[in-house]
Amino acid sequence: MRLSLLFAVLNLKQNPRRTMLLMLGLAGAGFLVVLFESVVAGVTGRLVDVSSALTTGDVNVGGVYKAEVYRPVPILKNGSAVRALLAADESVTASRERLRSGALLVGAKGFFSGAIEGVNLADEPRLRSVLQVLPGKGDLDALSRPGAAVLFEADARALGVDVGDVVTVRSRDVGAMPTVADFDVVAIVRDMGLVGSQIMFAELSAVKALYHLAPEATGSVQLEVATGVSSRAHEERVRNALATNTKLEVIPSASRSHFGYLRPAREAKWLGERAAVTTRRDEMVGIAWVQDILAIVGTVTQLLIAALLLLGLMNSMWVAVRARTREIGTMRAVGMGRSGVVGMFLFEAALLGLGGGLVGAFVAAGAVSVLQAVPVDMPVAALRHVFMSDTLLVRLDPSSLLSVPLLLSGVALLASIAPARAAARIPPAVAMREHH
Amino acid sequence: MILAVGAVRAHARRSALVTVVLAATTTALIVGGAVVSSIEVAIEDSVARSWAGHLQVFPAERPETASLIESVGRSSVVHRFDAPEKLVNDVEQVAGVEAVVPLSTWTVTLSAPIPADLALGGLRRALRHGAWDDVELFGAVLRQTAADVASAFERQSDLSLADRSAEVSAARRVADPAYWENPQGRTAEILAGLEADLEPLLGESKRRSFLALGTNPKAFESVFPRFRRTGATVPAPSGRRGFLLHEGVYDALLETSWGEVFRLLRGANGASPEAVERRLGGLASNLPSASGAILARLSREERAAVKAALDEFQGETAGTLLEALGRFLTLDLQDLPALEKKRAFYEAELRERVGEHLVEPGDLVVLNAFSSLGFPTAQQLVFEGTFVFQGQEGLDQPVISMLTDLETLAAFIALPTAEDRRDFELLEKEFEGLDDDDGSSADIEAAWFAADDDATGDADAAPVNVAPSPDDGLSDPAPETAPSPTVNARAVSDRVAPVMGLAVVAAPSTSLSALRDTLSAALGPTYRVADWQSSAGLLGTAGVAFRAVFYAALAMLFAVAALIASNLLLIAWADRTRELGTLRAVGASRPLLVLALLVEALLLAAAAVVVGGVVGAAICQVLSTVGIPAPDPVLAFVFGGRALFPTFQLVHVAGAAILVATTAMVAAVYPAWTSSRSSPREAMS
Repeated sequence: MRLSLLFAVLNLKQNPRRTMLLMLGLAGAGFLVVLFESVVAGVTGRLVDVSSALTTGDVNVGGVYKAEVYRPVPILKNGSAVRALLAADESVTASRERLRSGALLVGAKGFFSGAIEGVNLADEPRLRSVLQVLPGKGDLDALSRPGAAVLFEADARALGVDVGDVVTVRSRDVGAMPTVADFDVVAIVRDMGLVGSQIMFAELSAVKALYHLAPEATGSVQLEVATGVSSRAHEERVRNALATNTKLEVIPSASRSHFGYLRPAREAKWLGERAAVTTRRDEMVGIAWVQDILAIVGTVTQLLIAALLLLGLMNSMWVAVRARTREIGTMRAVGMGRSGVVGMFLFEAALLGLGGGLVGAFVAAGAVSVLQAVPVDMPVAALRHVFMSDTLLVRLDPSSLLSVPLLLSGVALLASIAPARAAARIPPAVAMREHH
Repeated sequence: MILAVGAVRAHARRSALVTVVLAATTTALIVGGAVVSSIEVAIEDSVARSWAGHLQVFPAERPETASLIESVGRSSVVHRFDAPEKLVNDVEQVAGVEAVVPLSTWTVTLSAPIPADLALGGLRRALRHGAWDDVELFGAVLRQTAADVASAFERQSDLSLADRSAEVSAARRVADPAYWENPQGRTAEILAGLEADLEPLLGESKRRSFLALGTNPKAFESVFPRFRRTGATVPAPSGRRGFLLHEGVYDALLETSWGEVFRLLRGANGASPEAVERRLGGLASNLPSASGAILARLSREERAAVKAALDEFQGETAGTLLEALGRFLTLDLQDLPALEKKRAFYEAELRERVGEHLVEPGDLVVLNAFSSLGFPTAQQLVFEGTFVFQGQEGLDQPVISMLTDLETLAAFIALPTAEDRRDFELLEKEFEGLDDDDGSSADIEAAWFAADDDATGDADAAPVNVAPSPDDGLSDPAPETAPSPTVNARAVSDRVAPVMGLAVVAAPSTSLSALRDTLSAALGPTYRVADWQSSAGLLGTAGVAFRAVFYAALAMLFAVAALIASNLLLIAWADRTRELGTLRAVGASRPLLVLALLVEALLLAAAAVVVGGVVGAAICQVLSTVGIPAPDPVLAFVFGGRALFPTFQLVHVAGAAILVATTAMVAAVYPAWTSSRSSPREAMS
């Protein structure tokens, strides 16, 4: 085994030009794969950041309250108690209350049917980090004031309101009775592309007052869990916690968003309160397809690249086997076994793949940090909109620095199996006779 | 060239590998390209052939970012044409334009009549005509409704801070049988009590705001092939205005639970009895109030016939129609034959008579909106029927939910009339004066309300002023009043319905960008011409995003292919040092050798395009029959239906040919240069 490794290294050294060229090819592929993965990670990371800030935690518990047939409302009656119970889990790193409802927003010059979402600023570090207040357009901190609200730029323009103006919100309360309240615009924030429009974030207690809700009632409790705990796994934990510690009945999972459970609840026979436990993926219905498409295109491209590499490497290995037939014969003659020959070629391929992959991956890592330091503008408005960013976001997953080289050496190994076995089968006598 | 062909022949296996690598990228390009361009065609079809046309013409002052389907109706500023008819004529004259359709959009709210409302109507009629059986029938429905309302409020008491005790006691009063005793002598009393007690509690159970499209319906239908009416269409009688509703909205908003029951029975063939029963169980609790809606739609004779039929089905005669309907549903459903029996009975006996929706084509419906000035407008319109946009049936939230004529939409928008504007100007002046005077708040209030009375009076009248009388016809918006284009938009005659944009359908095989330029030049700077991508907002740009992602992936693939091909060629040609040296020895110059090697690479690329093209075409052929299923409604829109059927396009082969040839050249340059370096002597030795 050690001998095979030694010979593999020697072979690589002996033929520096060939080694260089093969390494270059593999490094190029490694570079592209790592770069592409970083772009995908950057884009999906942004999607996750934005959705974490605006709409969903890793796991959410949303209420479905039915006081009468046909009219479920997205209210969790004992929101505070549920939050206290679930936040006690050691893997929960943060929790917050949200209260969202459809409403008619009326401003000085315009109006639209949109949504209002009640937030408690003290629990919202993520919202703070994602929302960008336009220069001179107020202060996000003021959102903690009772009755305060924050609007997106396009919405503020449509309503014809500025910081300091009032937006009148009309809706119906939990009893379907008309209700109205004024909210003070304390800040106007940049538009967020795909998800940031026709929604107003407002101070939670004022939104509860608008819907005549008791203080402990809320819309949903959103939990953030420690990295390493999967949403699905934690969803199960939340279900169990609710089942054992509360009388709250949980609607069986149907992979819908919180509001997606309202429609089936409309026709259902039961009255009273139930909870819908949802994951981030469930809530990201509107933008998950961006992630899906990137994942599909990424996988298909990587498979094709792997196939191309396989072809190329297999060819050069065949060439190497033929070129070294005599050499192999000598080695066999002096006592190297068949497995030794196979091992030699496999080691050679694996080393090539690993080396090329490492070089490519680290160059890509350099390119990623350059892209992070000097942001590149998104070329098309559509991309800015869909990816919710003005610049190309890249995020290096450190594990890909190792996984991609390993993957490449795997491909190289696969490519060299057949040539190596063929080389091992050559009888020493034939090999020795062979003239180049 | 001869050298190259000879070389390819001589080294068939080596050459084959390079060809395979290049062919794989060709296939990826052809299949990927077919998918992406099919998506683009599907989106274009979903948008351009459904409602938007290929190009849109807008007034120049309309913000460029405003998409046709998103932003209109969100703002009080209505950007419209000064003289729409003339403009339509002008645009129609432009070569390459196949059809022009005027469009306006506005947000309209439909409040579904609630079943109890309809029962209340039935009760009123019954009391007036002294039909005491009916009073009993509808009374039972309303008693149930009142009891539901009361218990709902009671149940909410721990959730809501609002005090509803007065409402609860009012509802309890109506739910009490004592309230309904001896109706013969207490007609007026019962009616007054209902109005005071029950009506305020009923509220609106379902309402939805959506985008309504005002257009010339006849032209719209003939121009847009994806617009399709479904079910029966009942045209509004002359002198009445009407509208069409998207089928999805119609079902979601106006279907009674009875309708769902019947739909369930119709579709029960494939479902398990348990599943059907579960659904029915859920619906059964809603039926008392829903039956009020259905019964109110029937004449007395029809009701008698329905009851007789139900009794026959049950094999007994007892109780009221309400009870009979209830029994029809709660019949044992454990076995499929019972379900089948019900379904057959429904098909044979009930279907014709019992309505499934709260509103059927031909009924009058009240629709609400906020006018351009923000005050509420309402119209009672004839519901003429339903429509869908073909390929987008799966979307819960259709982009366009309602279609009506321009004049009807104009009445919702209610642009201020000349009189309104004068009043507002006066009001503004008065306000300014008050500010200067530092007048007391009482003065301000007095001035406000004095002026406000006028304004409100006019505002209320505005829809009538704006809308031409029904005799004007739906598609003939009073051309004689059209002012010259030089007139300011604000002074446009109040009698012309606003047209906010034109949808322009291009003649087949017209270049859209060329047509766009021609149109822009022909119309001048007062108009802006946009393509469907920008007008469709996010939907239009989705295709661009798909293409960008695809190009990025393709670029990567070609880069890798170039690297590998380069490697392969280097190895292949390194083996031919001897041969190349010989050639040099017999007098071939180095550039000639490089050229020969490059031609060889090109030949390989050509073979790759042929092989890859055939494979790609075969894959496309399979995909175009099998289809790529759309996993969710958003993608269904992007795919233009439940599945995407990518079609093979020659243009992609052409693109592949250029790209692969370039890749092969790039890949071959270095190997060709190094291989040709071999000196004759070295080669021969």
